Amino acid sequence: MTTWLNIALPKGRLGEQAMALFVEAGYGIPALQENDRRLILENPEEKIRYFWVKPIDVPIYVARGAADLGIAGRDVILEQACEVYEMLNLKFGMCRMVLAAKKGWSDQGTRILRIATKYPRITTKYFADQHRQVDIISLNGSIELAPVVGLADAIVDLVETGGTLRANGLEEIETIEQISARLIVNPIAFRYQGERIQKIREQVQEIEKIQQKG
Amino acid sequence: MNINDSLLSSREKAIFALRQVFQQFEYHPYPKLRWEDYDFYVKHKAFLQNTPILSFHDYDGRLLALRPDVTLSLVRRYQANGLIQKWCYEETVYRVPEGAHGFQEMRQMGIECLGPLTEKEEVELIYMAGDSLRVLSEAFLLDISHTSLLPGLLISLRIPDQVQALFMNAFQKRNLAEILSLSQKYDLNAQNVEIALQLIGHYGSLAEGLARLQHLPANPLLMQAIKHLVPLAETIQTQNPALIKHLRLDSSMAPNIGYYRGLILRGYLPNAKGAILNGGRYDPLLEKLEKPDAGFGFAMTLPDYDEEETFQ
Repeated sequence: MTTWLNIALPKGRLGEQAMALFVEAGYGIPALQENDRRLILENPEEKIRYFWVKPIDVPIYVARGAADLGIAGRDVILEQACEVYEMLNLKFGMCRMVLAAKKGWSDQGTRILRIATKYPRITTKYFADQHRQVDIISLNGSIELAPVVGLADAIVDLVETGGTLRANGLEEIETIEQISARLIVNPIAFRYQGERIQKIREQVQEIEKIQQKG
Repeated sequence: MNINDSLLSSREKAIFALRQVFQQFEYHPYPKLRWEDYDFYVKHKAFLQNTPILSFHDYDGRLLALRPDVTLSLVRRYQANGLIQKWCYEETVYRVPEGAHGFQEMRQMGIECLGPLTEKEEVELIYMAGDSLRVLSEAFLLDISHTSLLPGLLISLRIPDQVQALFMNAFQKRNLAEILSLSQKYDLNAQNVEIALQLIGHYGSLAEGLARLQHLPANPLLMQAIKHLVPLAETIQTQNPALIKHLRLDSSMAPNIGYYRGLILRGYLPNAKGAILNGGRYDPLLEKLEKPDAGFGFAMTLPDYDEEETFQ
């Protein structure tokens, strides 16, 4: 008997794009309504169940086996550093993780930098790789404000067009990582539901390629 | 003394079943271990994959540690006598599991085989790992690899030296997207990359995996792995055909080459959180501890059982 395959989707635009991809690949939800507020959606025929979870939590659901698959941004995968397999780049939700500071600011390398970010783990690793000691200031939003009001020297944050940075008098110093949505897989599910996961991965990849061309 | 089976919890039944497997293969219980000097673990931190160590002071001020691993302690006490020594153990280890926020106490059962080992003992190790997993679930899977396999695979792809670590990391995490993107960036041979992606992205039988490996351009490390694993698979196919369907080739397994050399194993059960069996051949560990001979073993962390079952 086929067991249920659980897929964790991030709430918000990324998850909606991912759901559209699954629907297009033939794994839609019967009677799905616009603005459907259910947190768990099921396709009984395919035995697929979707959960809507907070984006940052998707890798945790997958790594702990509550979900077999998940869609997560590369930023949260790196930040959570969970044991999951990253099996497909979905090529939407594309942006960059950058180091940015006030226009004209330069790092003299003479003191411990204060860096504001929502991504302490990625930031720590980035500066550790450069053998730099930094004072990480963990914030939950409006990161761009930190250098403007003197809370931090620089920030590590996601940038899509750079418009918000420019509007706040900041400029990009370096790109740390290219970010996009990824299909992640639980290592046990990969072993025990491998063929099904492989089929879904290939179908989703096919749709994604067609959409890229279109 | 007769014990009523209904008094045993699932965990206790699993422990007894594993003891029986170890006994069938003539492994003898190792005397209970006490704690070790903290310095000993610090010296061999790489063997422990840099896991944090829980330390404490004895009344005389000596810094001691609660054991994060059993193999190190057993090998430290190994006295060669020209014979093969087969030991099994049940110990508590203290570790910080992946993603956890603190130390956890874990019950480990395992075996260590030390001495002038031959191919016979190595095949027996695989059978024993299979039997040990089978008593916990008929749906077990045993991943097999060789410490030269992943390094050899990377050489086959002609990956530039400066990005070897990036590729190694992507292979270990089965990050297909990253492997593909890096391969395009460094203009690797598309046909070889496709074979590597098949090896990493599919989870086929041991025979399928070994056949795929042989399509890659040969190099000494890759050949070392193939020459070790192919005859091993053939022996198992002949002697123990019931086991072969549970075996897989895992080309993504991270070799801790400072301490392991040769065969490496990982065992899985459905619904477990990760690999519950880890093991392999660790001759370099004996060399580091200035011991003669060879050694291998595996440790099993029992899966979570519903403790409410106890005493029902």
